[in-house]
Amino acid sequence: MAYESLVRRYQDAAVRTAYVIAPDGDAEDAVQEAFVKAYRALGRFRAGSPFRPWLLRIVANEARNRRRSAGRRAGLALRVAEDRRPGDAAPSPESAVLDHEERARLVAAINDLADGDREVIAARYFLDLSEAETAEILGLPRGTVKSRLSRAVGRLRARLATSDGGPLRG
Amino acid sequence: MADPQRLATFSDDALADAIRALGPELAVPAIPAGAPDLALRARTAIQAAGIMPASGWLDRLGLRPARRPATRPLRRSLVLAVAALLALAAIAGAIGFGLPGLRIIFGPTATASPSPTTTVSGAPTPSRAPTPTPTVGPPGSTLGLGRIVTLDEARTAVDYPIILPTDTRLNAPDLVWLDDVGRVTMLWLARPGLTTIVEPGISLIVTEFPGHMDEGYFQKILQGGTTIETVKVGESTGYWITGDPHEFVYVGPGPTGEPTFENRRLVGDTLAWSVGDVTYRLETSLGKDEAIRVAESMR
Repeated sequence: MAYESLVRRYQDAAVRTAYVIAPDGDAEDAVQEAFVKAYRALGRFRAGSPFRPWLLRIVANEARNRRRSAGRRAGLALRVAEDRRPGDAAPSPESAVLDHEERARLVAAINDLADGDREVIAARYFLDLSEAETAEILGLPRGTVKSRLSRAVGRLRARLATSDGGPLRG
Repeated sequence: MADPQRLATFSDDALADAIRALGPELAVPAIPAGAPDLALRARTAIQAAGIMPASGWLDRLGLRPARRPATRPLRRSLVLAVAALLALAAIAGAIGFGLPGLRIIFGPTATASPSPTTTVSGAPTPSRAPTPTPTVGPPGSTLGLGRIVTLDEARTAVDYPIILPTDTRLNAPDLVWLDDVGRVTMLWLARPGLTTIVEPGISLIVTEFPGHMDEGYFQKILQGGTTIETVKVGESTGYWITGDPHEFVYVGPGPTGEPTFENRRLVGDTLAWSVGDVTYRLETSLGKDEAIRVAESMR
């Protein structure tokens, strides 16, 4: 089936998208349902436009719908396996390399953000999408991604500044 | 340990880089090895729900495969297609399993009435109750298989090698039919040790056709009670289709190139596979394993 082969190409990106939009939902179920919904919606696909962001927008919407009905929030998590070795020196103040605690603190601070802020940071940085793709996937006006992202990063920085290294939210 | 506030001192770019670097570390769920992937699960759900895609979507996505130009018009009379059949033909390219010259698609049942030239076997179906066509003439004459020829004539007429089961219960076919798209159909009549199929008095039908026919292709339309399973026939991939009788339809181009359906008939358990460009169908009540054995005996 041509459609199956087509969406298989975007499967991994779709699962990542569903996960960062709704970490507490079932990302696989959301993606499967989104693939079915996209198939129904093929009549609305504009010829000549890129398929990937169109598909991922449907995935993001499906994940969002599930997030809203999901109740308690779990938040993004890092994989358990960490390559942290005893005796690792603390990073120097100017190093961009984060240690284990910093990575956990950064994720916790992102989880603390409002959904809109978290989504734009996740799309731009976790999914590494362009501003145009971010706008399409999140259903935002194209011109507003940069300013939203800037405000979201500002709020993230404020949270990080008040973080005292105590118990981390996860 | 690093200064707890160190992250807050990062420039925007450095913070962006730090977040990007976390991307691969996120606990994104992985599909367990061996589980059906999501694209396959979605296809199964689409087929189970009988969802029809928008027409022309392959074109809109730039996925339309290059078509071979038709080399000659069909001589046989063509049945006029109706809108439902057009829609059904459209999904043939989108949904389903296939072999050269054969598309296997899932219903819904076409709603067009059979035309006077359509032949349908007398087997009952839950969704459509065709009027049984009394069998007149030799076995197979109601099935739209073309004309009766000898095996040698068939071999001369087609440009692919015709192969036969070497199973000792079968010997030579009782009847050989050849149609004008190069399809050869061989019938083995009822005999001890072989149960009959949906067609009365027939034990086995073997059909062979070249997959590069430009004029049209054959479709199997599967309903809810029919299952399809991927099997190995020798080195080839094939499909075992079983359960409720399903429709087997020849689709050819109409006068202006639109698909038209003809020779609809209901068939029972079927094994279909291909070797190179030639597709083989074996219609039998022998069951899957025996059918594969007979298929693998073909030389």
